[in-house]
Amino acid sequence: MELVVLLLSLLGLLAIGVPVAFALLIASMVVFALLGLNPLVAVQRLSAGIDVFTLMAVPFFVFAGDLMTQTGIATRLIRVAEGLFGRVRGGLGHVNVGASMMFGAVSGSAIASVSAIGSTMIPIMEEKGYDRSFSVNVTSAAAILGLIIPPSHNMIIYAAASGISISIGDLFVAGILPGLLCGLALMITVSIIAAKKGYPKGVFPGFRALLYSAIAALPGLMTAVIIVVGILGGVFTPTESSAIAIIYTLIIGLLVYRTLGIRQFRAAVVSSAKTTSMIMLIIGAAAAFGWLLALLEAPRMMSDFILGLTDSPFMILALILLCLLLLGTFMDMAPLIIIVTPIFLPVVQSIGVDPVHFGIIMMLALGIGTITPPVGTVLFVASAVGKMRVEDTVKTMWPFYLALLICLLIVTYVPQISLLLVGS
Amino acid sequence: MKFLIDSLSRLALFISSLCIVAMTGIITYQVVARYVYNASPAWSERLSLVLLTYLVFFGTAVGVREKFHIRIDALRNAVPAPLGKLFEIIAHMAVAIAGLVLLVAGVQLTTALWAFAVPALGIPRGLALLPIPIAGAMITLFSVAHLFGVTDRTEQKAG
Amino acid sequence: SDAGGSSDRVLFSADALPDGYPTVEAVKFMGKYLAEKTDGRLTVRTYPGGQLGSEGSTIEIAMFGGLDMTRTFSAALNNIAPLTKLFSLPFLFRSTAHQREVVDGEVGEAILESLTDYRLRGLAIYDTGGRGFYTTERPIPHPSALQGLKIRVPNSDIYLATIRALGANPTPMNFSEVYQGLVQKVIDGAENNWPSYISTRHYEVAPYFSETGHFMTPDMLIMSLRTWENFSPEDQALVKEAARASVTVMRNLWDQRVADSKAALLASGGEMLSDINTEPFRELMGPVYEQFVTPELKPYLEEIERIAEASA
Ligand code: NA
Ligand code: NA
Repeated sequence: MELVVLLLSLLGLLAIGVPVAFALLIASMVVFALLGLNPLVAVQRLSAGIDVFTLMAVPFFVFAGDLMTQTGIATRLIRVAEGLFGRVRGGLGHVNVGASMMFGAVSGSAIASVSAIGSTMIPIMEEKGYDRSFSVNVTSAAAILGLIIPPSHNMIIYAAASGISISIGDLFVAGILPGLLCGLALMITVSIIAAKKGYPKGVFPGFRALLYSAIAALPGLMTAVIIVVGILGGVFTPTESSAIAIIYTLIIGLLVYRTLGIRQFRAAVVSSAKTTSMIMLIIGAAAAFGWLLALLEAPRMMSDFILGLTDSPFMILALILLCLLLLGTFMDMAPLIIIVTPIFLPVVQSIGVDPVHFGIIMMLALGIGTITPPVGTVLFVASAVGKMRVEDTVKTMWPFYLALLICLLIVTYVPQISLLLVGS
Repeated sequence: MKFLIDSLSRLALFISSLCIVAMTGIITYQVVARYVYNASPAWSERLSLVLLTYLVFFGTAVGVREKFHIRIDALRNAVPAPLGKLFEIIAHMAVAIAGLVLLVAGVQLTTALWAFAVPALGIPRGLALLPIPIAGAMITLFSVAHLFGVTDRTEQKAG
Repeated sequence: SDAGGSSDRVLFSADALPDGYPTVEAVKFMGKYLAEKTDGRLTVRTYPGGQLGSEGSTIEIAMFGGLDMTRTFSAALNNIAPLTKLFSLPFLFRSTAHQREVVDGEVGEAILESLTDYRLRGLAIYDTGGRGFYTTERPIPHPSALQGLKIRVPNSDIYLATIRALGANPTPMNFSEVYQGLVQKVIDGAENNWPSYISTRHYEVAPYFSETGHFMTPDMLIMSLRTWENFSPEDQALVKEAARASVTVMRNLWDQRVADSKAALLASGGEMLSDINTEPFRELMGPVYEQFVTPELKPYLEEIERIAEASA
C-alpha cells in the first residue's frame, strides 16, 4: 500500500514537471507521514545521502572539467584527437568511448567519468557538428564501462554484501573482457549512427601539425597522467586525485597557457557550484527514496514473485535481469547492490551460477539502470553537463540501450566471457 | 522585493562557490601535509564534507530561483497551454511545500543534533546541518516568488 | 490484536554489517526469542548490510524514532554519549574474559543506561574481541616496528591519538578506500578485528596480522527511546532479557568466526603474529589516558582495574 503510494506519487510529481530531486523528496515525505514517521527522517536521509566521502570526487571532477573548458585545454586536446581519428567517421564519438574506457580503468565511479569526460568532450563534439543529444548519449553509455572495467568500488560493495567469500581480485579480472565487449559494442553503435547522420570525418592535418598539436596539448594531457599515475602509484586516493587535477589545471591555465583570468576562474567556479548542487541533491533525494523502498521490502517482494513464477534456470536468470533493470530504473546502484545481492545471490547459486559471474551481471544490469529514467544518476549528470533536458537525451538514446542490452544478454548467458581470465 | 530575492540568491550562490574553492584547498592541503609533514590532518576530510553540505543546499536554493533543476517537461509541453500553466503552478506549490518541510524539519534536526560534536572537528553537528533550514526557507520564498510572477534575471533577459 | 489491546508489533532493526554476520544473527535470534515468548506479538525484522544507512546515520534515525533498533560500533556513539568513550580507550582490558566480565556487569549496564539522555536505550553490548594491526610488509612484534608507518584508523580522536602515541602516522581514510589504499601503498597498514580483516579481504593485500589487541571496543545494540517508552514494563523486561540472551549467541558465532578467519589467513599464505608482549605498547599510552580520561570516566576505569585484579 505505502509502496504503491510511493511510486504513484513519484510518477505524478514527475509528470507535472516537479524537478526530479524534489519529486523524489516529496514522494518520500508523503510516505514517511503515512508510516507515522517524522518527516525529519526524510531530511536526515537526504543530508546523509550527500554526506559521503567518495562523492566528493563529483564536485572536484566537475570543477576540474569547467576549469579545463575555461583554459582552453579542451580545445587543444581536440586537435590531437582530430589528428588521430581524422579518417574515421564519427571519430569524436570513438574518442569519447575510448577515453571513458581509459578513465574507467583508473576510476570506479561512473558519475566521476561523466563529469570528467562529459564536461570536456560534449562541448568539443558540439563544436564539431555532432548533435548534442548524441554526445550526451555516448558519454553516458560509455561512462558505465567504468563500473565493469576494474577497479570498481561497486564490486567491492558487492563482495561485502554477498556474505560469502568472493575474491575482489577475481571480480576485477572478470570485468575486463565484458568491459571490452561493451566498449566494442558502443563503438559499433557510434559508427552506425555516424554513417547515418554523416558526422564529420575531419581531414588528416599531416604529421607535423599532429606533432605540434600534441606538444601544445601535452600540459593538458598531463592532467590524465597525473591522475592515473597518482592513483596507481599510491600518491593519492581517487578523491584526492580529483582535487589535485584542479590545482594542476589552475597552474597550467595561469602559468603555461595564460588563458585563465579572474573572469574565467569565476565562471568555472559558479558553473561547477550549480552543476554540483543539482547532481548531489538528486543523489541525496534518491537516498531518502531508496531508504523507504528498503524499509518497505520492495526488493524482497520482487524475488518472491520471481520464484513463484518459474523453476527454469534460463527463465530465472531472465526474470532476475528484468528485475535488476526495473529496480535500476528507480534506485541508485550502491544501495541496490547491498539490498538485492543477499536476495538474488542464493537464488542464482542454487541454479549453478558462479558468484563472480553474477557480480559482473549485476554491475552491467544496474549500470544500465544508472542511465535510465526516472532515476538515472549517470544520465542526469550527463544531461546536466551537456545542458540538455533528460527527456530530450532519452529520445535518441535507444541505439545505446539496445547495444548494452545485447551485451548484457551475452554476458549473462555466456559465463566464459567473465570467467575465462579468472582463476588461471 | 525582486531586488531582495535576487540579492539573496546571489548571496547563496556566492557561499556555494566559496565552498567548492575551499574544499579544493582543503583536500589539496591534505595531500601536501601527508608528504611534507608526513602527517595526515584528521579534520580535512570531515570539514570538506561539511562544506559539501553547504555547497549543495545553498546551490539548491539558487537552482529553484534560476530554475536549473532537472525536470521532465514532456507532459507539460504536450497538454493544452492552460493545463500546462496549471501543472506549473502545482509544481511551484509542491516545491514550496518541500522547502517548508526542509525548513521545519531542518530546524528540528539542527537543534536536536546541536549538542553533539562532528568527529575530528569539534564543531557542533548542528552547524553542519544549518544550511538545510536556511535553504528550505529560501526555496519556499523563491517558489512563492515564481507563483507571483517575480521572475529571475535570466528569464527577464530571455523575455 | 489481543484482548489486552496491544497489537502485533514488528521492530525494525538495522545493521551496517552483512547478513550472516554474528551481530545480525544475534538480533535475528532475539526476534525469534521475543516471538516465542509473546506468541508472535513482538517480532524483529532485520535490515543488514547498511540498507538503512551507515552506523552514524542509523543512530540519528533511531534517536528521532524513525527506526526501532540499530547495531553499532560503540565508538560511533563517542560524540553523542561521552561515557561510551570509556570502551574506546586503548589497552583497557587484560583479556577477553576480563572484558566480558566488565561489559556483563555494572559498568556495562551504566554505559547502556547513559544513552537514555540521548533518546536511546542501550540493550546489549556485543564484545568483538581485540583489534590487531595488519600490514603490507612485516608484522608488528613491538612498537618500534610501527615507527613512521602510515596506518589507517577510523576517524576517532582517541584512535588517532593512540596510533600517534605508538609512533605510527595515523591516516584517517574512508573504510571503502582502504583496500585500494593498501594496494597502492597510500597506507602501509590498518587495524581492525579478525572477521572484518578477512571479510573485507584486506588480507589479500596486507597479509601480516599482529594480535596486539590495542583496542577492544565492543559493538552495541541500541533501541529508540520512543519505541522503548511505548512498551509496558513487562515488555521492557522481556526485550532486555531477549537482548541479554542474544549476547551468548553472538559470542559463540563470533568465536567461530574468529577461528575461521585465522584459518582463512593461514590458508592464503598470510602470517599471524600471536602472543605479543603488550607491555612496551602499554607503556606509551600515558598521554592518551591523560588526554581522554575525564573525571566522569575515572570511577569506571578504577572499577575495571579492580575487576582485573580480583580475577588475577
Ligand atoms: Na573502473
Ligand atoms: Na534508472
